[in-house]
Amino acid sequence: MRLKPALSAEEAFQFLSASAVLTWGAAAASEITTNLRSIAEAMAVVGALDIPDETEPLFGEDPARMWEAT
Amino acid sequence: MTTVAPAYDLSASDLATRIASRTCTPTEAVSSALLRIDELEDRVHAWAFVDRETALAQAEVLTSEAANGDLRGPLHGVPVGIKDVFHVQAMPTVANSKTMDPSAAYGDSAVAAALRAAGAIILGKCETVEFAGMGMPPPTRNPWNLEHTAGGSSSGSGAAVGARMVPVAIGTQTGGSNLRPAAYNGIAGFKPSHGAISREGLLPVSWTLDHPGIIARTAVDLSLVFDAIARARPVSPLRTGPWRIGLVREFFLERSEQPVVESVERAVSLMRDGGATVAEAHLPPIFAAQQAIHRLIMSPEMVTYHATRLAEQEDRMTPRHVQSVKAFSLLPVTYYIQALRARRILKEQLALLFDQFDILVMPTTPAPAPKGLDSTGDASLLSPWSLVGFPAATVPCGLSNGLPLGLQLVGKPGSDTTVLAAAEFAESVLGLLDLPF
Repeated sequence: MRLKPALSAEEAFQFLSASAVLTWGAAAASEITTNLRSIAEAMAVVGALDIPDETEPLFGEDPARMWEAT
Repeated sequence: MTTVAPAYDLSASDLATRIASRTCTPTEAVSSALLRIDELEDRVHAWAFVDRETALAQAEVLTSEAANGDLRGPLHGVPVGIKDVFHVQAMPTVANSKTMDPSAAYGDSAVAAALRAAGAIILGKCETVEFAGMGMPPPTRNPWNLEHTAGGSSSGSGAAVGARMVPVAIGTQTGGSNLRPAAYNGIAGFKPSHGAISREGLLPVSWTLDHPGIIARTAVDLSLVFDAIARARPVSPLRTGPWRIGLVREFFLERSEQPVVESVERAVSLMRDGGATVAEAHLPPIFAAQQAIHRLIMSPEMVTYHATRLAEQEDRMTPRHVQSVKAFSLLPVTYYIQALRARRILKEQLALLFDQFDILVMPTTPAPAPKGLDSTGDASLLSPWSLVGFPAATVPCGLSNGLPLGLQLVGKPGSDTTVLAAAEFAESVLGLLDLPF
């Protein structure tokens, strides 16, 4: 699924719904519609962000910068 | 005539002081806690497991040591609870899930080992939402009103301390799971900077968002326990005031019910009277995306951990947990990476606020504990600080319809001791809440 140009929440939902049927089957897919809507909305928000090319992912803590081991 | 408070009603610091001065013994402290559990557990359901015999046996040993003036550490003889997602030697780890084998043996998690080294006595494991994530809530009830949730996912940790069963309990926070139950139960809570307390021996929800946390009677207790279990000391220098406070109205007060807004405004006014300077702090535009960023990071990390469980034990997982894992598994990896990049920008821009302020303040939750046990409440005011890993504390700041409210204090990464000092300041001007029973 593309990141840019940004998806709408509805486009993301259609992609996730189709993936759900392929991955888990139609019955299970119908049970997770609410969860998929929520993820689709988040995908649309994050996909629309303008992030500079040089930005690296932030995976979590960076103890070397913030902490001195005891 | 003065009345001596029963041991169960003492804060950890008061209890430790009395044990050190030999006016209370660890055996008396543990016995008092167990009696309190006997009195209230049928109604509150804070505990997944209590090991009475081992706790009393350890208390006898620690009592002998204290009698000889030999204290293991700052928590010598203090009874504590640990959320049932941390491994503790000779105790089951079940995580409120039928997929976990209660007969499996584990060694101590880093947190449990640190507590023991400080002299604490681990009474047992506190109830949790299924795997501390988006699964089934436990049966835990709020001691302030049994018809309401105690919050979660550290439900039992919050209720056990709130009901005065133990003065301290350990929780975790991936979104709002440590500070929310602390606030709902009228007590203090602390989520340190990400990485400040070891996650070794903790069942994960989401590796880059999970924070072990502390729930205690008072802010002083939070500092006492953090000093004992932190794996590292913050590099950021300690500030002790006069406090430069940034009140965050955007998003945080805007989402809150009127009694919460009034309670926070009153708290800020009292802090100003106490010598603090207060100005409004303004959030960067990217903050509007924080909930989406959090969701896209937590979802794939959580599903990766539970993928094998889903494949092998789906019939033993609750439908709520199964549905979350199945849905989250479908997120394209590019969105996870993009969310991690967005988190870096959000963190850097939020950190700039601390050029102007020592501490940001806002409500801990937008409303008091909701009625019923199906939901553990709203974590939306807490998850931004879990996302960026900033230290955050909560102290009680009033009541709404007889249920506690919390004031949240947030600092820059690595300023944990400053946040705890600010929490002590806030608590000193706001006072503590007394349980209605």
